[in-house]
Amino acid sequence: MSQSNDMALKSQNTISKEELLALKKEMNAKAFTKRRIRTGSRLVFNIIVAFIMLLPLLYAISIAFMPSGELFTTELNLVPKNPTVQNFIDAFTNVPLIRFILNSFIMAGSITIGQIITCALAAFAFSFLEFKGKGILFMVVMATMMVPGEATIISNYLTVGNLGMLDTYPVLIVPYLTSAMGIFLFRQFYMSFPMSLYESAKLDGCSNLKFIVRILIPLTKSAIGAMAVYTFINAWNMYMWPLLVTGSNDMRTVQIGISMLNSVDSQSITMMIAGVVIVIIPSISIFIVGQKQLIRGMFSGAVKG
Amino acid sequence: MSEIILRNVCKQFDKEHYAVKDFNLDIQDREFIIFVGPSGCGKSTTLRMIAGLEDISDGELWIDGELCNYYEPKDRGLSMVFQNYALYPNMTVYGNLAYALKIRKVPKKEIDERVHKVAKTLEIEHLLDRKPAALSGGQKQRVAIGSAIIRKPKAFLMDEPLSNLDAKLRAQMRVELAKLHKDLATTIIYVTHDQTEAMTLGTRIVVMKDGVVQQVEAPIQLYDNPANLFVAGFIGSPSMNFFDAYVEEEKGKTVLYLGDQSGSRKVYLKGEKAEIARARELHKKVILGIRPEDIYEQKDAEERGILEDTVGVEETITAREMLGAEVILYFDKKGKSHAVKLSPENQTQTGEKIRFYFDPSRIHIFDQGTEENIFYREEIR
Amino acid sequence: MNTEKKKKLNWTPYCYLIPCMLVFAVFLFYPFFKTIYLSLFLTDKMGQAKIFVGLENYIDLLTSESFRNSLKVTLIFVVIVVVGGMLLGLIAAVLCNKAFPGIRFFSTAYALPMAIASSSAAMIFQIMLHPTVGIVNKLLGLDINWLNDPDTALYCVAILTAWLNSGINFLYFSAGLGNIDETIYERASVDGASGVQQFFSLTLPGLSPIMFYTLVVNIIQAFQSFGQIKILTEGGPDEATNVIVYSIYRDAFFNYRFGSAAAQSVILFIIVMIITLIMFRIEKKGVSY
Repeated sequence: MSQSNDMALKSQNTISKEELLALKKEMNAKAFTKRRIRTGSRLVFNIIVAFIMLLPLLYAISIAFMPSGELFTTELNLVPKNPTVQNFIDAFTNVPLIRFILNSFIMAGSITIGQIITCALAAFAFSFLEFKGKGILFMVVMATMMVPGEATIISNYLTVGNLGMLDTYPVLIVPYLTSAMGIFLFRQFYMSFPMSLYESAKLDGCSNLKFIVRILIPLTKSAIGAMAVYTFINAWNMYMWPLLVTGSNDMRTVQIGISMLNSVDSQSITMMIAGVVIVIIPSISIFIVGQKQLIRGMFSGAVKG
Repeated sequence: MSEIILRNVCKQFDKEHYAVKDFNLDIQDREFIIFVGPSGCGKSTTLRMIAGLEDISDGELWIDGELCNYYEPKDRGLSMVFQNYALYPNMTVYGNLAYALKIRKVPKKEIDERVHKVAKTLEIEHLLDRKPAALSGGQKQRVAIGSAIIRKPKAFLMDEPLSNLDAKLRAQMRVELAKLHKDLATTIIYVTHDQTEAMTLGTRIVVMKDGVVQQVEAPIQLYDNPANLFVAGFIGSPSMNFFDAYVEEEKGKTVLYLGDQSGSRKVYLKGEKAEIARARELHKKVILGIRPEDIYEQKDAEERGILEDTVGVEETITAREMLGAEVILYFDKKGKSHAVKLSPENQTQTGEKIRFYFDPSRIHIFDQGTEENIFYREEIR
Repeated sequence: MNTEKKKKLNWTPYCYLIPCMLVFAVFLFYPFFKTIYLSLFLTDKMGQAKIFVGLENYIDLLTSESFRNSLKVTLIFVVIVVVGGMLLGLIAAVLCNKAFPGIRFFSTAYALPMAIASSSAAMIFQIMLHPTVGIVNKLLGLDINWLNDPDTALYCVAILTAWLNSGINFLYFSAGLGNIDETIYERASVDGASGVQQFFSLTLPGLSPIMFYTLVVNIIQAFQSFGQIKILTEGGPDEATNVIVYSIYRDAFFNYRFGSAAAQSVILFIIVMIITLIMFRIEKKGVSY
């Protein structure tokens, strides 16, 4: 120990103990403030950017609580002076919002469940089973991702029109009961399991269906969670197809329903925004609850894949 | 000329937890210093503090007489080789080698010359156009070393650079690193958990445990003269055997009773060791340490003239490992496994009994409480 | 025995594909080919193919001023949406790259637009851009009728769409940043690279694989934007926002010219396909890892 002291002193000959101590104190303080500033500026930047990104939503919430008279001033009115829930009540009474929400839930829920089932089955076949034309079929499925929905929407509309299916639940749901992306996502997950998992289950006398239900589904909960969140949100937010195929209030989904509020006279802007806030709430809550799942199941995989 | 001095360097995570505590070391120019220890002992943290990748919570880091605690990593004049090589995946091998020079705005022509020179030294000239993803582990390793040496730094810091290679490549790279150290004539600070690397490469080894330096010594001194129980057990493979023992006096001689105080198995100490043991631990329980190669069978013990000093220990062999140049026999004692290294002519099989004799001059005695080697003497440099 | 086994191997796998293939067949393959078929005909108001006209629909489109305007508008729209959406996502992802207090809140905030429907967002923007009560005019002290001015309407709709797409881009870029090996930054800081140098020589190239993927997804998505245009501008003013998808919608469901609309769908598909193929070609050459 003593010899290392001597060594250190040798190189310290230009600096005294007190000076060193003072220097250390000063530099530590500097490093501390530097770190503070760094974290602080990061925080400030984030607050600014996040505020801009959230501005439309915050603004919508503010307007939704604003009495309609308050909106029509030339002065800057960011927050309601006399907050009211009247707009929400009006929105519910002016259009059958509850019915729209119910329709949307039925549609988005069915699509989500349906997609998970069909995609899981197909992905199972594509990753664990051997059959003729597997490669080509998979290519065909993947190629469908390139076809924009609008390229088929006219023919689809004519088809369901001819079948007399317009303005029913099935017409909202059935065309979306599968998705190439879902098949791809599940297959990515299944491929990460060794083939021996399937083979040993087979040896234990497990049927294919039993294998899927008992083994595959529990093992791919995160993929299913991600898929569910993503599919539900997209279905909830669907616009063009429901617009085309629904005609009556009984069948309209929320996205079409609230645009009906839009066509009413401009006096009811606040009511319309209240309606918008109401229909945003379900998709945002599902997103916030499922965000972790979504990122883990979908995006970490997408990058590697 | 580079001299790196660490004075009472600490890394503190919170009020009570230290990753590294009071690390003192002076590294002279051209030394090959090894930080070794089990995982989580703070060796990598120390290296990263020297590099500037971690803040130093307390203490001082001097590089060539300059206080470097608060220097940015780039201003410390060091270069580092990372465990996973940390090659830039988007650049070719050439780009990886040239990057540090490019950043420092070295003229293009000089960069080119130096890249080719380094590539030649490391025999990676034919790889210059490749991307890291197209390289094997050994090649990546060379590129990583190349991009460290190209800057002609004051010292190299290497964080377990060989741990991702397979055993054969590792042995090969070890030899090359030793050669490189000689050719470059620069200080290297090298972190590893592999004691073979530590023993073969280092001019001095720093053994760490729980953030505290246990011993700093040249490899052979470390092996022969471990400061405490931990160092003794950590360095050497198979590791040192430890037995409970009692220091007693018998007709003026200092004797160690093995296992219990009955005296059925004992070793007589001689010379200085006897005196120290008697002075410090008489009638006390101690831990006796002896390396596998310092235990002999009867024939060899006779030849070495140590037969009289030991009342042979008879043991039942539980496992036998034939390594070609030597054979290692294992026996169990109070739930602990012990190893003996003998010449391959020994034919004792598993389940058979054999008598062993300890070389008393090679015995270490550790204090039961402090776990210090009572024979340890700090080398005077 | 052998044949029996073979038969079994041959048929069960297809059963698992039936549900998805059935949906694809009825609602994707069949309409896809039917669209191509329709595009070669003049149709009646019920969408029945009546008179075979060959490529006339296409020729009419490509020579019509309105459709060429549509193409131009779509192109500008897509460029703004893709560049804007990706830039927003990238900025947010870089800001959230390192841990700091509140990171969870901010990352949720940045990803949030992906949960919002285009129609809802459009209605909010409609009020924000409202000439008298809108916050934009109030904050900027301007008096612009954003959505009724042919010079600004397209940009407004595009920026709205970029905002909507930024959420998912943020998630992609965050995942991409998370995949960059942390130690290369450490090596770079020892090598002497400053933060800015690190960003341009390590972060951006490190993001290039995901950047490419995101770019393709964004382009495809941008071409398909519909709800916000329907609600905010209905293709106007003066066709300034009449992107192809809206033009398809208008031709088919207002003018009942299904043949022409089908031809536009086919052209849209071809454009998307060509861009995708070109992108993949470029990727093979450029973004290698």
